[in-house]
Amino acid sequence: MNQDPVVVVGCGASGVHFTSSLLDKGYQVVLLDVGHAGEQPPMPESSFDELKARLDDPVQYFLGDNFESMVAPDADGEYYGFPPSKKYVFRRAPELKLRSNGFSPLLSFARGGLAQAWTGGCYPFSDDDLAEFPFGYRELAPWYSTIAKRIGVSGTADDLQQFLPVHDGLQQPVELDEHSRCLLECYDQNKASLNQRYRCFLGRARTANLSAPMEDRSACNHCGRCLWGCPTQSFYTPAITLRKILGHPNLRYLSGHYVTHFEYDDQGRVTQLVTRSRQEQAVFRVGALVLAAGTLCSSKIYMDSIYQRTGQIPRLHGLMDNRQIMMPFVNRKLIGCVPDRSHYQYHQLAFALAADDPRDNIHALVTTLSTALVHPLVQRIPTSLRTALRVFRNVRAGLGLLNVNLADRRSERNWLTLEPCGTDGQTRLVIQYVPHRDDRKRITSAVRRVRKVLRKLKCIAPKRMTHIRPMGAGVHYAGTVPSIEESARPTTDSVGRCRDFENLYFADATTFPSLPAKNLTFTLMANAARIASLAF
Amino acid sequence: MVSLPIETDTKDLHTAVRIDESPVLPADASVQALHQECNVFCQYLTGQLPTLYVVRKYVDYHQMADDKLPATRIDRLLVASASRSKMLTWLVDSYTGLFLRQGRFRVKMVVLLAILECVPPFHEAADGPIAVSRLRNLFSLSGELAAYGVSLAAATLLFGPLHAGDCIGRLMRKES
Repeated sequence: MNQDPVVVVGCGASGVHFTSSLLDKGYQVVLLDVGHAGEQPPMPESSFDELKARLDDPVQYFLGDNFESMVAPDADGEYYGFPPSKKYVFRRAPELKLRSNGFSPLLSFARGGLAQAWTGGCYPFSDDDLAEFPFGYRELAPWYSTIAKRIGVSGTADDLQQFLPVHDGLQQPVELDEHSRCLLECYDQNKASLNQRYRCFLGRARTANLSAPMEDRSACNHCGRCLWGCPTQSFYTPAITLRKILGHPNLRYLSGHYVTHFEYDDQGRVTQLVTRSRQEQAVFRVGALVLAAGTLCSSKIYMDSIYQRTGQIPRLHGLMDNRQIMMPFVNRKLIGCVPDRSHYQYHQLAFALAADDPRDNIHALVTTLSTALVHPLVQRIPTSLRTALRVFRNVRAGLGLLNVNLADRRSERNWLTLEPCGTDGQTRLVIQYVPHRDDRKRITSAVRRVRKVLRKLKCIAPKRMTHIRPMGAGVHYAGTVPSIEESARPTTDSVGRCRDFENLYFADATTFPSLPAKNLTFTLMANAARIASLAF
Repeated sequence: MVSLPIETDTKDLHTAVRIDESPVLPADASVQALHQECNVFCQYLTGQLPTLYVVRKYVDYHQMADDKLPATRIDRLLVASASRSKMLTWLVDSYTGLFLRQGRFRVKMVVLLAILECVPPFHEAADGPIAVSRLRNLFSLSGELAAYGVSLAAATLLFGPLHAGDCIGRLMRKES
């Protein structure tokens, strides 16, 4: 038996849960990442409004050192200014160079990965969602339960359960805010028509937020600071799991390592991993290599490894991401009321809109925005700023933002490749994404359906304020080395083992053969735990 | 400490004292002009004078990004007009809300709003709850929208020809 350790690249949602499960089985693991770290949220005992009064420099906290979180009138229509406290999540490693066409990629080299800035949606894939995967919901269900118990997921069985299967380990849902309660009441009154005529179902969101204490983490205290970084750790991020496994005697965690490529022998066996750390090259012996750096980075490492050995530049087809549409709306019943800020701020409710082909189902999440900065929205109202402010204050309690997700499928037109740059064998990642031919039609149809549903729920969704986010903004990248039962290369088997290299595994969304209209992070974690359990 | 004679409300002393411990503002003419703008715009938006902290942040933004703001003749004219009085700010705000939504004045107002919504007590004016009855709110909102209509009409008469002239001038210069 090979005595070299299992080397895991990346400590995002996939990497930490793969590592945690492997440590439970007694393996020696080396976990490598770049590992940019953030700061602890200030004044954990303060609510959102108290924070404004108590901070020495609130503008620096909410808008950033250089006002980088301010959304200027010429910005591209985003409704959120990204919180300065989370900007470390998207800080690039200087070694990574990329060029993209038709795709706005976001990458993370943070300790905990992209999910340090996620919105906590834990939506298990159903059998319909997994139709193209080499396993179904039944095979994945135990791992959903494992992860739910590990991270703390709140939710319940309701009308959404035909789209969101119910697994073990769910905590009670968090307390509803007034906005969501009002919406849910209206849904209940119009359920028959919404279900039958509009094929729309509404229910509680599944969120990685504690409604009851778990281990050393307390339950959500409704401080309203979710958007700005949960100060109590009731909201889960992968850094929590990383902190927990760091003390394990079988784990060697090394941050500050940018992985460039792996080396392999003539039999197609990965022998060592090459990293760059503080301008120095480092080499690690590999028993098995697990790439969990996210689809873009894992794919780059894979392609660079082939390029370094053969001089040939591979191209990986099938890149996917969820198209996202942001639709602000106002609940008419709540106009003129006082906004309810002492609640969980991310999604409390979720919509599912069924399609004839279940792979085209639409999934939408409701955010109430009561503690988001107001200037990005106020400036979009086509009046004077002062009038807009007064209108906004009147409708704020009823204001919601619907994040509509559309599914994606692998296509030969969307790919990743490399481009040599510099003289020392360095390469640039090249991303090409061409929207599907029916993209515009799908968007128009989805917006129309959602607007009808909102109208039925007594909400107004101003047409001009609908914002179609560019591809890449969904940050649910997947599909370049799919796990499919075909001999086509490069592919992986059902446990993420690459068919070209006997000891190389992909534990992230690189292996997803399709992408349903759901946040994939929960499935990433469950699948990573499943691979650790079944392949090792 | 702070080199500007900045007026403050007594109720804002707490914030003002805190700012005394922060880096000082240079007292040159451009900063004085920004201070004047900030005073007028803040009173227009919130009914209150800005604190030292708000002024400093407003100036900080401009020192960092002023050269990136739109700077056509009409942009400069509108900002200069608006900073004279609240009444003129109202007219310019109404005009730019519809016709120059990405112009210099609008950017300045959004910057100030972004600052104010982070800072007590001003954040109440930006995102504080509406405390009166819903009916009264409806009347007040209707009044606000009607007033906006009037100010937009007046502002269009006042600034529309100047704006059109500036656009035509720029087009002609481009062609020649």
